[in-house]
Amino acid sequence: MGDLSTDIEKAFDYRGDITLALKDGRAIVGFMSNREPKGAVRCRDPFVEMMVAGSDEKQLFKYSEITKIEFTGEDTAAGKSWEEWMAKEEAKKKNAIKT
Amino acid sequence: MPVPISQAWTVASYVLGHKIKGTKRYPLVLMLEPLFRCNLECAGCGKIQYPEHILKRRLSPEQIFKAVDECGAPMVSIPGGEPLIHPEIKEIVEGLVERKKYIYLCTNAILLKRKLDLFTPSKYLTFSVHMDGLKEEHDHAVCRDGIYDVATEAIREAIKRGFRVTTNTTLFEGADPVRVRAFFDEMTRIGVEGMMMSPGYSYSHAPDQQHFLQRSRTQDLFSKILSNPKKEWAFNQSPLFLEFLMGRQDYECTPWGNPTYNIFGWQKPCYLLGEGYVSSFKELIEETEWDNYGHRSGNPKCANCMVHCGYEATAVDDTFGTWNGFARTVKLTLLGFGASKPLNGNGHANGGVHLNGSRESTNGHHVKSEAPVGCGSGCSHHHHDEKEHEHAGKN
Ligand code: SF4
Ligand code: SF4
Repeated sequence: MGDLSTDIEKAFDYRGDITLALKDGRAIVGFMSNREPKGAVRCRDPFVEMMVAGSDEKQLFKYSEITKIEFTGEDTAAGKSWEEWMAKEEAKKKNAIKT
Repeated sequence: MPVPISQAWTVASYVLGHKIKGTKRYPLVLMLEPLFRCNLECAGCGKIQYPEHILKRRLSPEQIFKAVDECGAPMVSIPGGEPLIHPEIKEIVEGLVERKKYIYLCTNAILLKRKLDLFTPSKYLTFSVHMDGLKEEHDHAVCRDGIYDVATEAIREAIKRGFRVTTNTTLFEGADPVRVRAFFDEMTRIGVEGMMMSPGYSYSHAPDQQHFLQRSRTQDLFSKILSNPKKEWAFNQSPLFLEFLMGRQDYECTPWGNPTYNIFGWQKPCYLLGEGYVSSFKELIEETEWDNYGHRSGNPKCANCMVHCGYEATAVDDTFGTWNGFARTVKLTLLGFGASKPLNGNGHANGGVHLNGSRESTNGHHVKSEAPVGCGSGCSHHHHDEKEHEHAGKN
């Protein structure tokens, strides 16, 4: 694992579930919906917010509680950006011209 | 068919009220995303790419009303996902009508005809139908054949039953101005109240020169589409925003004008970029570092952006915030875009004095705008994936 803050940023940008390993031994599986590296009104320390399958509430974990982050769920955005779609369309057009 | 006088009046008095109070940042259109699930999978849509348990979640009517009441914007745009999938959409719309909010329910219209019975025609309710062009272009953009026909049939039915209907169109590089104009003709023939459009935008790591070209290409495209508009075309947007798209007006982004609320909370800073979430509108306004955004901020994510959710509110503020803005809006409304001129060297079509007597800000921060004609909601059904973009977050 790299630097925790970097991993948290990656996890925040990731469009799939991740697993947080906590210092108390728990593993939290869910979607990281937010992170506040400077803290906020609801928690002055840096924290992440997780949406855990089966729970309606967002769960908040301080950076200091986290030991490791793993990208355990499928990346739902993989290969689906506009640029990738455009590239596929271009390739289709080129193939159609060739055949 | 222009926006009803009552809506224009509501917006005008709301903006003027904030001007008189000297409010620095105020919301104009709340972008309310009650769910991310959709029944289409359009290319590049960044709103639907989530794990299943996220797609299952939705905002409850109570959460929505609380957000709407806290925000106070006179208009509420409901994009998604597809809001007609929400099982409580009827209650949500009724609650918003009761609050006298002008609602733009943004839909791809697949379910519209079937669900029309849930709703009662009202001046407060407009269906804003996602239409990205004529049949060929639209079906291509939404990656499914036949959707154009389904949507136009639903539009006709909704109009027949007395509902307000507009279209919202996202235009991408490569769009053919001739085809876009033909599309406007067709929507006009069908009888929509007005049309809305915005450039598609996707930030990528491009050098500045390319940024400049992208922005100028957007202006070029919209100039070709709009410089000789037909008088029967009606746009449900501020004429000054359309001038901005044509490169005839220079504005800075005012993202707080279209704040976004969804299952994650209030989205910082704008509808396009999800850089974080806070739990109240107050926090959004007070804690977002607004100076880091807008095309003059130096933020590469904003360099090419000209989207309605950042800049239309600026245009509306100009209309109601400066005598010149108001005069230009009236002139454009009466005489069309032929009456406007390209920018002068300093980036302004003309200078301005705020209606409250102060000088227009020199950094181009006019403020939002909603025009006496064209009080667009800011629906956009193309949400490009910002995931792979540096810090662009989950949008
Ligand atoms: S662009 Fe709109 S209609 Fe298309 S998939 Fe996204 S939310 Fe659905
Ligand atoms: S310029 Fe565009 S991307 Fe940047 S804050 Fe404004 S709306 Fe968002």
